[in-house]
Amino acid sequence: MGKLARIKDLIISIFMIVFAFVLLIWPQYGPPVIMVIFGIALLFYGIYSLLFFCTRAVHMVGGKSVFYKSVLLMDLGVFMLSSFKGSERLVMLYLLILLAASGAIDIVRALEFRKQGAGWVLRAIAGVVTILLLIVGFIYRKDPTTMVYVFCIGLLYSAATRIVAVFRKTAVVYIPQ
Amino acid sequence: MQLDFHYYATYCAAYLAGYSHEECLKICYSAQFPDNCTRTFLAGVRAPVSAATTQTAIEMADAKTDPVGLQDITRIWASFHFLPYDLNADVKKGGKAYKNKYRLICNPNGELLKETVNLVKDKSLEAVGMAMHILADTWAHRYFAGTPSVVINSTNNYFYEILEENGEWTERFVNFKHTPGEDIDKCSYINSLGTDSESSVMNLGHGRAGHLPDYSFMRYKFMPAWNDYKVIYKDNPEDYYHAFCQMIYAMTFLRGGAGTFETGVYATDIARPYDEEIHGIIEKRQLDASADWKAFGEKLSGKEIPDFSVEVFRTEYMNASDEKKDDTGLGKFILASLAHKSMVTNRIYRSGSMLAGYSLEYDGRNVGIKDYLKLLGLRKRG
Repeated sequence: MGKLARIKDLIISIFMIVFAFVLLIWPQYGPPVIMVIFGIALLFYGIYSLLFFCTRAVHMVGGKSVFYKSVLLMDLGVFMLSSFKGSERLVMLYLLILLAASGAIDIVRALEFRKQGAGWVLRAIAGVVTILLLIVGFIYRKDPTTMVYVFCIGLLYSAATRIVAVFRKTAVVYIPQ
Repeated sequence: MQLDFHYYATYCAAYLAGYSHEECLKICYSAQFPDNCTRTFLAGVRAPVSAATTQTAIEMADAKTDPVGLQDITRIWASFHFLPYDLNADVKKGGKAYKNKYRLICNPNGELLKETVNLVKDKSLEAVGMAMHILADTWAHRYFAGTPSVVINSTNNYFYEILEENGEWTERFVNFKHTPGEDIDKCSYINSLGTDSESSVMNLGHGRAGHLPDYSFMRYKFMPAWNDYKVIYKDNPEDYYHAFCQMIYAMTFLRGGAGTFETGVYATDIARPYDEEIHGIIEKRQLDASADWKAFGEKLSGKEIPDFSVEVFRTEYMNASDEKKDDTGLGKFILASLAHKSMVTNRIYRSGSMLAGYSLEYDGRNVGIKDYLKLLGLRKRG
């Protein structure tokens, strides 16, 4: 990772942490803000997919599917931005699916590590905590603030892993033999 | 390729190249080991995880697809299973990002293969075995790249197996599925899920073509994403025979040959007396040819070839003291894999591509991943 990329990731991580704490302090503003963020993310992902089609997928067999996907994504993004007060449950469902997948992978990885004799406890704890979050999120799925808390925890975790990655050495040392 | 070729066929090739039974066992064990040396395994024996040569399915599901994560995936798969053919290929379409991915397409007899074999000259038998895995895979995995890429590695529905039925050549549509169990008679095989995400591991290597490249008997035609809607005919029996003869030539050279390893040279003269037997094994329609290769190897040497087990490396490494770990089979394999991975990363980086990450020539300071500093010891050993 280059120096510029590291600085960029560090700044993004700090913004994520600050944003998560702001939402934790004022959770009542959370749902519409999260919806707007999701809408913008989808819109930009759609634009990215369109650019990806123009520069790379246009050369590939069956590349038109990328074009159709980009149009759909942009449409969905615009839809979420225009109705950001009405589709909280959709986002909640998305968050719960993400938690389920993440928790399941953590637990399977922990079992694999254990089988091979490697350290597995921390990974297992992470998996169990994620599954607990999923259960809590499911029980309180009708309460919009639950969505905010789940979102903030995910944001903080993501920021923390980014910061760890920023300080990790990534260059491969080449020693001619 | 799979265990039948990497373990048993490599044993046969090593024996024909002049190695003793015991040496052949060391070579073929390390020729199979790149398919078993995962981060999880290395973490379990407290060995440097940067030496990983493959990933389990769950490791791939867990892998990050940010640039650093993708570079790690590319270092593993492009170095050990999909050695790039031409890192400076003249690509007449697409921008820089497309060109960089296109240049990672694997094919036999590239400059990197030459460097791979020459790098293990006068090194351990474990290094020889590792290099034979890479060489053999350049034949099986040709036309695919060792990096996640939908624009290079995806395929469409045009997939036909070409087989001989009642003395006539016929084409049969390949039925791909995503659930366990393959049926040769129904041309029903497993492949990875289709997705148009460029960074999805579903589009890594030959995932979309399933295990077809791994079966020696398979002849098929398909339309890879990168080939401008032109069909490619893949003749595995022909390719596997070339791989076998090239391994014999490479190991004859590594065992005591002068000069440097050259591409496009095959020891067909050494293999010729056994041609009928070798072609018989390669062309037999079966998902696992281990029993046939094993019988051939045991006939050649007159000695028993034990079944492959990762416990051999694990037990020896775990029982060795810290000072002696580098002298064990796994220790030597780790040094060889680190040396090879850093060489391939360096060549990709020097070609102007960041797909495998940064490569820094060591200048006396520790500025990169610490694991690679073990190579200083290897250089001192000579």
